Amino acid sequence: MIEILDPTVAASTQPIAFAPRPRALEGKRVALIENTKYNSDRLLARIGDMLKEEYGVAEWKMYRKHNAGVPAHQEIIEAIKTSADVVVAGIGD
Amino acid sequence: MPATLTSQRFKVQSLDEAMELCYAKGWSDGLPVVPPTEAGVRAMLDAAKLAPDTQIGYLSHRAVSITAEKVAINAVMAGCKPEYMPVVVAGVEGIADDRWSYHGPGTSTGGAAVLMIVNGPIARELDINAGDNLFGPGWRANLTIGRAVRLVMRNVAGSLPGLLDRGTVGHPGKLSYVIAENETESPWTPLHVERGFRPEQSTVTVMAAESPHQFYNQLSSTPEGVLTTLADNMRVSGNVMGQPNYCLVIAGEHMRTIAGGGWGKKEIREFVWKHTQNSHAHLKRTNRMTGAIQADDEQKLRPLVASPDDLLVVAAGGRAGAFSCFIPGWSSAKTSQAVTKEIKR
Amino acid sequence: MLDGILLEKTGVPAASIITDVFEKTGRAMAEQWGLPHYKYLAMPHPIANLTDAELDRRAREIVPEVVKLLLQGQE
Repeated sequence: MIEILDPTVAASTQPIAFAPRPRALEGKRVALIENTKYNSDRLLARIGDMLKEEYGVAEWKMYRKHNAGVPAHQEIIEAIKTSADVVVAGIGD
Repeated sequence: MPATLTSQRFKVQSLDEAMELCYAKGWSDGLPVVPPTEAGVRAMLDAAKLAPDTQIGYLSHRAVSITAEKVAINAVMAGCKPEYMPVVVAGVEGIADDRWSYHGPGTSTGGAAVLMIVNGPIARELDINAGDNLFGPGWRANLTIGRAVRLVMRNVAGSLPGLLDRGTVGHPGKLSYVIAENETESPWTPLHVERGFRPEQSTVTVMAAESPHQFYNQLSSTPEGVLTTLADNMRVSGNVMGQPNYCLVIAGEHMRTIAGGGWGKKEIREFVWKHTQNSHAHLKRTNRMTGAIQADDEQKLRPLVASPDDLLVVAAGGRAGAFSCFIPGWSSAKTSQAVTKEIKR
Repeated sequence: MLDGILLEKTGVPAASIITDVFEKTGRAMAEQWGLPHYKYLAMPHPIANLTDAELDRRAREIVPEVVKLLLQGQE
């Protein structure tokens, strides 16, 4: 009889309190986080414009990550916490 | 009383069954693995003098802690001898370093492998190949050490093809990609000393890397001659625009020609940096750079690497043959950098 | 996609958009982070070679989904 050990690590489920949702987007400030991939910013800008024109969003602001491979750096997160109500993040390879 | 191993255990009746179980569970890289028994795992931990719950690295992008126990299990599976464990540990520390930035090279469609360059006395002690067939088969140390690091990436960090490893075409180096620098025969400063370590320290340098590109020059008797050919092959390579690290592996014949002309690694770096620049016009014509061609685009040049310091020069490869190679890094030096870690013994 | 998760944790509602070929990757990342049911949006891949008109169309297609995810959230 041979006993072997598991080489893997299982992810543990984490409880997360998701942020409370606004009732509507009217008057809200949108932060757009583009991931530096080609056309990411141009597509997000169009989404931002449509949110303004059709859903009454007050304004949008674009943030550019350092690179696609890492989460948004701390300065972006800090800036968004104080100056935006909702975030749209993306896109592409 | 030695510390308990906390990994889950599976009981099987035979060696065959153990190998098949490892396949069935998705723990293999495609080749058969050595079934990881407690005895094998303990031998690894003892050789590196590590307690099983020691954290070797924390991958923030994956929210996962890599323990010595898990590295040891994967090292046994890879076929490592216990004395290889400190090298595997240093390799894992390297890829867990924020400067290597795991998620990018580990997941990207760019399909980078982990090039591992070993320096210092440990290379001779463990018989890590620095000569003939440098990137080829034949050496247990080279193949199992690299494989162990890849198995950790697969089994601990979740870098499974199609899921968290999206390399579009990848390359064979993703099975294992380990070389040593030929410090015995090289007249140049070893890589680890250039990067701030003492000659008697042993180190692993990890670099996110594409496959090696061989170039051929048999005619030249000067450093400029050999390196002009290298630069010509290299100038349009990798993703061309990103400016990542590159590794230049200079083998025996070329090493002697270049050193014979009085050139060291610094001169090599400066020459290669200068002669691997592409005009904006060429980059736009070949659909790598966006925008219409402007009047001065033939004169505007973009270097392949941002600075000569981004070129890692390693003396390695066989004594015979007019071949050396360059290895493009992944993406950009701003998003992932080569990292050197001491091998702790 | 990780950005969305991190921002939710700091209290800002987020909608993450990926391109569809990375669905399995996105799901694997969410699972690794212990959030196997995390909701995000996917659009057809690739976007790098789209014309201006095609980018307009893509934005138009996804905006209602973005609004829904921002207002209705992850429940």
